[in-house]
Amino acid sequence: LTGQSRRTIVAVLLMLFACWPFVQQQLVIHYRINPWKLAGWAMYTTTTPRGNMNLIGIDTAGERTPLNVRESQELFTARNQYMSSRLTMGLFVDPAPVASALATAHPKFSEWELVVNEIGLARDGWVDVVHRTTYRFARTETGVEQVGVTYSVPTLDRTQ
Amino acid sequence: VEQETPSAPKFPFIDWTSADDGLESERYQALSSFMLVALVCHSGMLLGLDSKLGNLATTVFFPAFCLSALVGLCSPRAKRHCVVASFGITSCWLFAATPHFANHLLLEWSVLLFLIVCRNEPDLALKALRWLIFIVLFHSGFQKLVVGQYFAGEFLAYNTATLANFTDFMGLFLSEGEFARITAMAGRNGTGPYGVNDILFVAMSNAVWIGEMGIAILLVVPSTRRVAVFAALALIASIELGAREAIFGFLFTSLILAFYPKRNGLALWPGLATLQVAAMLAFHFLPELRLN
Repeated sequence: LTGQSRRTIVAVLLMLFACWPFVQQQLVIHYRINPWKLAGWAMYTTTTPRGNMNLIGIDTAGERTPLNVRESQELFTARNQYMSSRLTMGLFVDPAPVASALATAHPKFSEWELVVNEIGLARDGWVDVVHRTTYRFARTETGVEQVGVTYSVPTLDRTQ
Repeated sequence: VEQETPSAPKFPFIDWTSADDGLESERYQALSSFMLVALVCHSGMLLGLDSKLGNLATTVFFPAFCLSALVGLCSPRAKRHCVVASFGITSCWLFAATPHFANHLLLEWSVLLFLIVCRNEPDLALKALRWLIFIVLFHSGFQKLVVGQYFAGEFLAYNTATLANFTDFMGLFLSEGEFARITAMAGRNGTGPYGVNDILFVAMSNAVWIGEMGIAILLVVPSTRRVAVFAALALIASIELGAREAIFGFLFTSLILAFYPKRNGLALWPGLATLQVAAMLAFHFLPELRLN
């Protein structure tokens, strides 16, 4: 390496290091990446994400039934693995393995909902659900497939 | 007669962090030695951990870093090869831990990367490392500003309510009433607000992000560099009293000392390396210190 080419490499690396945190910041905001991770230098900016998942079975009449994750070891494992990844990689993590295990454990339903709640310190200084994703899955000819996703939080205000 | 003038160096901003005191080569050697020990200590924290990473640390990373540090510190001629070896092992660790790797590990990997890329040009290595420290410090403060949970002390109050390390230290800056209110909430879902009315606590909270961004800028300006080093060390010490991430604290202290002019900062690396080893041992054998 010549002196000039070495300087070029150093400059490019420094610019990458300087710009990447802005990208990571957008990934945190829009895709719920863990702000403590992925080299954004945002440790101690907010609480480390924690969360939970509610499982709901929906029959052909539209009746909704809360389901117990512990009824199947496979479902329990799939849920835990998903939540572990989800709290780091946010919306990039595919919930399909959980839905598949859920459909196997509770086959009498025609549709299933996975509600993922991310709990943390909200902007108003309260500990609350800071982000909620509801995935809807249905049985199709090719298997269990995602048919919808909604993000109901953040839109709620405290008075509700 | 036309004389050929030497071409101006590319990317002149790199030189803004130069030291110009003729000690960069010694700093490079000191930092290389420190990093070899730092990786032994960091991987040593994972020993005994019941996970894939814990098993890898016990069987591969820790022994390999120990060997690299031993050879590198005993043989000055082999040191540069040991830095490359430690970089390779750190890369494997980073790969194995992705995407859950800590920024601490990435910082170590980045320092080694610059030491290797600029191995024949210590001046350039130190300039690059000073910029890296600027970037880390500035972004740490800027991210806190953007997220906005330091303005009324919310984040530190939440930590005071949920983490014993913060309760011990930050509790000293809260009034009795606020301390009782915050700790009673214990971080449970639906509790709040965590914003605090104590002026001293709120001032300390805001001093963190303002300090990080401000000190980063002052470190780059040559005339304020010496003062900024002391301010940075005070900031690190105050953060670590709460966070107790001792290994990271000593690593960052060592990197900050690369800004200090003259020989004094250089003399401290063996002491900092010893403190890191002590912190690693304390992590395992004195759990009551609650080091992270």
